[in-house]
Amino acid sequence: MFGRMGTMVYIDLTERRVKKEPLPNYLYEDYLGGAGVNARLLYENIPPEMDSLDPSAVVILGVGPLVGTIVPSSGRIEITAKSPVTGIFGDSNAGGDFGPELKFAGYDHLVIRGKAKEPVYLWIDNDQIEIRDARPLWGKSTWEADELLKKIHGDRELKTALIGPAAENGILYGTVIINRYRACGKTGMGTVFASKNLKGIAVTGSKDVKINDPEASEEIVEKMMKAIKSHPGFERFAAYGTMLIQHSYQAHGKLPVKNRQEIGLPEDLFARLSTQAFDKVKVRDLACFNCPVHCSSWHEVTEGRYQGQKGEKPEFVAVAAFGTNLGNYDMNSVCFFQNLSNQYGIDMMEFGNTLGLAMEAYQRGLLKKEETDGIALEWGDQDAIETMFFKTVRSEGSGKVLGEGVHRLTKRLGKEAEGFTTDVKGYGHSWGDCRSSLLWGLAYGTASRGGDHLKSFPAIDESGRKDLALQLFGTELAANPQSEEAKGKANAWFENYSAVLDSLGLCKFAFTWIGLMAADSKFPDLIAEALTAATGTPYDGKRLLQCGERIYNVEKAFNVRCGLKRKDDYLPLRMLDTPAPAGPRKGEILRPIYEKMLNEYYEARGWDQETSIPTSQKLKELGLEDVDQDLAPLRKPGKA
Amino acid sequence: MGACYLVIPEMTSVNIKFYMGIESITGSGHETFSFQGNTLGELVSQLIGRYPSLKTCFEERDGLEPAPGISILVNSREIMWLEKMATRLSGGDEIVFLRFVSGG
Repeated sequence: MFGRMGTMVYIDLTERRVKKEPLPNYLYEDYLGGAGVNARLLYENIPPEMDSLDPSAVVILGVGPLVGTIVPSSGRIEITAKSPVTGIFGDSNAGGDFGPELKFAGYDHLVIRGKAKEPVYLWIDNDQIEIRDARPLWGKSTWEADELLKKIHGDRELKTALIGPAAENGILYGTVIINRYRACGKTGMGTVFASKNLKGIAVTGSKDVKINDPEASEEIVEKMMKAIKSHPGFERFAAYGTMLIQHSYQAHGKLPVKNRQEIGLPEDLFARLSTQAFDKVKVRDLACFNCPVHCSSWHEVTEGRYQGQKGEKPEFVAVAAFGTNLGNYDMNSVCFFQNLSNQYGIDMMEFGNTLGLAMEAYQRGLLKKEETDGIALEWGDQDAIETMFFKTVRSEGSGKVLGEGVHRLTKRLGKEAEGFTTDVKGYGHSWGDCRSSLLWGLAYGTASRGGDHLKSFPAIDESGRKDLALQLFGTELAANPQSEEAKGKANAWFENYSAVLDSLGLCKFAFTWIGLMAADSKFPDLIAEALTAATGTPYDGKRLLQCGERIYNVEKAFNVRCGLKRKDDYLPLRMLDTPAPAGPRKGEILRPIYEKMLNEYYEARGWDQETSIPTSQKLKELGLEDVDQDLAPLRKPGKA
Repeated sequence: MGACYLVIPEMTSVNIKFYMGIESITGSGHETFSFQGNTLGELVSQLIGRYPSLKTCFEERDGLEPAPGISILVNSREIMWLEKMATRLSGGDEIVFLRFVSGG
């Protein structure tokens, strides 16, 4: 088999059984690999009524057919399970080099179910897969456990995917940390690991990924590299990665401040979280597997309260989560809190959203000191943030409530909190204040895993690429962040495109943010050529995007079976009904525009406007007859 | 013979920010700048007079235009959706010079 290793592994931790099976044709032809195959397997293996933490529930790891090849930025790993935070479809994706190593060991997917009696980890050394005792690792941070595993196996190059104490202690949004610094952060995949007494996976592999047409691959890779490096902002992307976003947000009137009560910062405060502030602690550039962008870097804090902190560059997510959203304007503290998040295994975004909600509730008098273990939740108080962080990862006192996430805290706080929560489908939404950035707002609303920017990642908005918008969506206005034109169509397209990237194992930073935004509408054809050269199976851009559409419909169907409807595709009230306090749409209300965009989105998707359920016609067009049959009883009488 | 008037363009004072490396050209991240006139084009001409290296962020096509990858926002709106370099400015407007980055 070319491109893929051809083997998936079923692991039952209750029975301590490991079974290898060939990857079925229908899975890789129609769902590509990685996220796509994971989504289909989740749909087939988890009935809607099953609890996400039921021992019988599966958690699936997957790598795509381009992972571990010469295609640039091809190091992604996807983890998929029913989310313990939201109770709906959950998945998360990370870079680094664990994904390629899993493939070099000979595997495309691991399907893990059951619950071990005592903590265990999976030890994968090429053909050998063992379930090993993890009691010495349990309770240790991901960094300590990573170090210990390297010592145990005498291999400094060992690749690990590990959970930290947060998930072990029951926080719902625990992460799986890849080689200490990369996070499968979203939707509580680490918590699912913990529910199985699974500390993580250590892997080493030495096999080759066989390529059908190596010469063609080299030519295509050259074209891809040319496209990526032709982006006029490439050097800045390479130097600062996602940290550029805080500057873009500040300029565009999107930067979230104090749980989004405010937008943007005075320049003197903003400067403390800018790339110039990071320059003071930046040491050198770092890259994920085979990535020409090398958007990460190493930091060392050499002075002040956080002196001695070392780790990978904070992403924009951390700058917002521990910085602007909590009223804390200090880059060194952001480095500290990101390192803690990676060590303890906690989703920074959900923690930042939850603590932001709690701080605003405290400000409004909805939360009293008696309910916060005596901690005054004042904006920007680093001591309070640190105390609540440790209470959360240890599930102590009020931290236990914060560890349940935005949705549950909103319910506890009552009706008034619905006016300032960030809850979308049970998860706090991503950082942009979308009242002035309409396409990103729609993307947050419709994301299949709740409140997320990466499921669509519609970078055409604010890209300045009128020409590309015209090619892809028939109007230049699709690239105008303040225009509602073609946003439904664009969001559906980007969701499909992102599903393709997550399934092939490619980085959205390189292939959307930079690659696509420097190329033309034929860019998906170039990716298809790379897949064809790798696997020998003929693909073009159209077929690839249809695979993306199929994958997204399966994720949607999973959620429909969990009871989700149109009402679940809305942004929270602050975004929809409160006038923007600043920014280009200052004073305006989003809801009427959002309704129009959502209607257009359902139309583009072929989903029912009233219920949001995919139509029978659409599912059959995608070859999803079995899914159509599953959803038939959930449709309203007379609806097909 | 009628009177001869010399028309002196009005002065406009705006708040300017330079992000994403452009501040290394100007040596300043933000400043209040007064210029003669009331369009973005006039502002940029006078800014280039003060910071000659800022010209690298522009190119001549039909007049001076932002170079590829350079974005200019007036009150958080990209000028490509306004009147480009002919966008009219008022006192107190915020003008940001940065690079195109779109993110979640």
